[in-house]
Amino acid sequence: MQVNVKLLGWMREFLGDGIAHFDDKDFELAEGHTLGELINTLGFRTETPFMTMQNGDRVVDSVLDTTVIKDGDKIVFVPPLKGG
Amino acid sequence: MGWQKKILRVNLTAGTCTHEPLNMAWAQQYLGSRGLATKYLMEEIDPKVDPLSPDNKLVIATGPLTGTIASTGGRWTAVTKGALTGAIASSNSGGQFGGELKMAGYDLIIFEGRSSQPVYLYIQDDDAQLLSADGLWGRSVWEIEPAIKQRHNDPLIRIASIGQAGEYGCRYACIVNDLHRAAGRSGVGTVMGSKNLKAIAVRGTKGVKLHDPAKFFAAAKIATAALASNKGRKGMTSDGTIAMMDVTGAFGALPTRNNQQVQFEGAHKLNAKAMKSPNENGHTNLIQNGACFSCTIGCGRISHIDPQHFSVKDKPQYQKASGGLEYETAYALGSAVGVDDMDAATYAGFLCNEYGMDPISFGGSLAAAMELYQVGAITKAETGGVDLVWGNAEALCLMAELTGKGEGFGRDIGMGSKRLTEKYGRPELSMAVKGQEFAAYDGRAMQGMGLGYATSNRGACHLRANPYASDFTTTETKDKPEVVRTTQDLIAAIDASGLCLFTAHSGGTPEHYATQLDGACEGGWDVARLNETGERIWNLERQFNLAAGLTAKDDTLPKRILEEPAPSGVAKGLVSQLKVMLPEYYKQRGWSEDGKPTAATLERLGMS
Ligand code: SF4
Repeated sequence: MQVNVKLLGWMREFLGDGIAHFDDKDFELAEGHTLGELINTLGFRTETPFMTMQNGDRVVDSVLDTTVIKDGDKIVFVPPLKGG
Repeated sequence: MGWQKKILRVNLTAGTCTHEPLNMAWAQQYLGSRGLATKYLMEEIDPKVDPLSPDNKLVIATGPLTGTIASTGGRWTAVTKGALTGAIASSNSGGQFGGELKMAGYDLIIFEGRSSQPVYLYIQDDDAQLLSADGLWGRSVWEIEPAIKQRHNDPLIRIASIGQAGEYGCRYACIVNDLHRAAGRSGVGTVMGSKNLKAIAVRGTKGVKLHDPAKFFAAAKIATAALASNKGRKGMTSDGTIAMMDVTGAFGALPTRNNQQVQFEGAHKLNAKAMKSPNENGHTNLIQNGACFSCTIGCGRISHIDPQHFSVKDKPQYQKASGGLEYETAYALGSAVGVDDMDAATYAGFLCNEYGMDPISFGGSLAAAMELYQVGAITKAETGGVDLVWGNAEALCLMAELTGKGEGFGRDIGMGSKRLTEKYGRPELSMAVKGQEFAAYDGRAMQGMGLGYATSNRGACHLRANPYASDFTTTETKDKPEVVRTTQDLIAAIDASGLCLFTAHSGGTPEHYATQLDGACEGGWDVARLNETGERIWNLERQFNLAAGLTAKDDTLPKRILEEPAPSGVAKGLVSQLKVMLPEYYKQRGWSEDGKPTAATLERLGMS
């Protein structure tokens, strides 16, 4: 299945080693993939919390590992911006 | 020290400038800038005064860290009774002016009375004089800054001034310094204009003495290093505040078309990436970042408009580099009015700086006018033939010019959204608190921000509380009163110190502020004292508002935010839970149920 992943703000700078920087990219994932697994694949290197959104809804950190991604989902990762 | 321990009192009616010692007991209680200026205002005017009468005063204030090497130590504040709100107005700005004023030897300038003729104040260290503004009055900020420098043959003079908006009485005129930095909100420039005061031009060469220089420099080094390595700071430097556009857009907290929507389909044309990317003509809006005095963050944007863009095609003077879009202006001159044209928004922002008006309130007022037009409460007969439909970039640019100059329908927009919507019989269409237009966050997706808007002493404002981390985590309201209350206090203290509150978004901590203050100022400053000082300032501002006639009824939000569910985003279906949060907020503040500080609270804060 295909999902679209978007990295907002400076989120792409958190990407793990060996992952090419991107802002917006389609990923081919196996059925049943969870948001937690996607986050592991991207390997974000950060101690600071960030926000995960699936199709416009916020997904709280405690359920990331049990939230299954569906074909066509739009996943957005948002860095911890504090104002402006 | 840190303080210069000197005030300049300018009586505009009598035409006199006199020096006075700073009241150090008040300085120890209210620190400086926003806090100390409010104390002087509270003691010297009747808060019930008409903001535009000669009996109102205007205080221009620096903080003890203004003019030092503490990172961002260049901030200054204009404090008065607000022309837009009738509440305490306290508008903070950066640039170079604040540092220069402090170097000239002053903590505060107090303007009182009204000059019979337009004048400007010229300060060279101890020497301060009122000079005729002949040849300056009627001209824009961009025209008079070089003119004053030329008149005194000194390119290093720093200037804070009003444009035509402040002269004619636009209710949200600001005081602009260094061409594109502004004490923007609540109509402080309107008050300055009502006093026939065109500009403050200052040259300072004295430096700032510190209480314990070694301690201060050690603390400043640590604080600056913390900013240097912080991810948030790096984002502020590279993308500026406009990075927020993507976040609120995705979240559903981006006020769009007068808060009828909370997500904007054109946000991607107004974001940090768009600002850095070449357009179809190969022109890139952003040139570089910019920084205020002593700032190591540099969140400012320096932009230029595509010379082929309709707004500047035959106007070479607007094709040059100037202060570009920040998140707030991109919202107010973009999503708020449904415009997705970055260059048009940049041009409207240039005009706001040039004529001296607050872009947030201008955009909010234009958005209200566009909704009045949408519902048929006004037509082309009122707008002077302008088709005020959402997204009309030409109308945005034209209205910015007319409002700046006070011509045609621009004069109505210059009244602010509250007076404008009342005039046309639809007051519910004003997205404002205490008469001041919303900033760039919707109070339904961001429940804490909604509470922050409602309780902000100067009217709706995003710079009075810091609920971002909480709001981007949950719409649950349980913790919001505490988050809003504690950050309101901390921000009041940061503002009073002379530092920029964006340090708090960039790795700055209360320890950093307290240790730098402790090095700069006598009296012993730690985090507990810092927070208590912030709380004292907050309560003083509240007392000013209560004495001015405001009540708990003014701590509210527009009907739209309280009753119309958010149409999309994380808060889809939600309205603001203000009614649940507000009583708890009052309780935690130590205020009565009708929002008045209790005797015990005032006593605890040493204010009784
Ligand atoms: S962070 Fe931005 S607004 Fe604050 S002092 Fe620095 S450049 Fe100015």
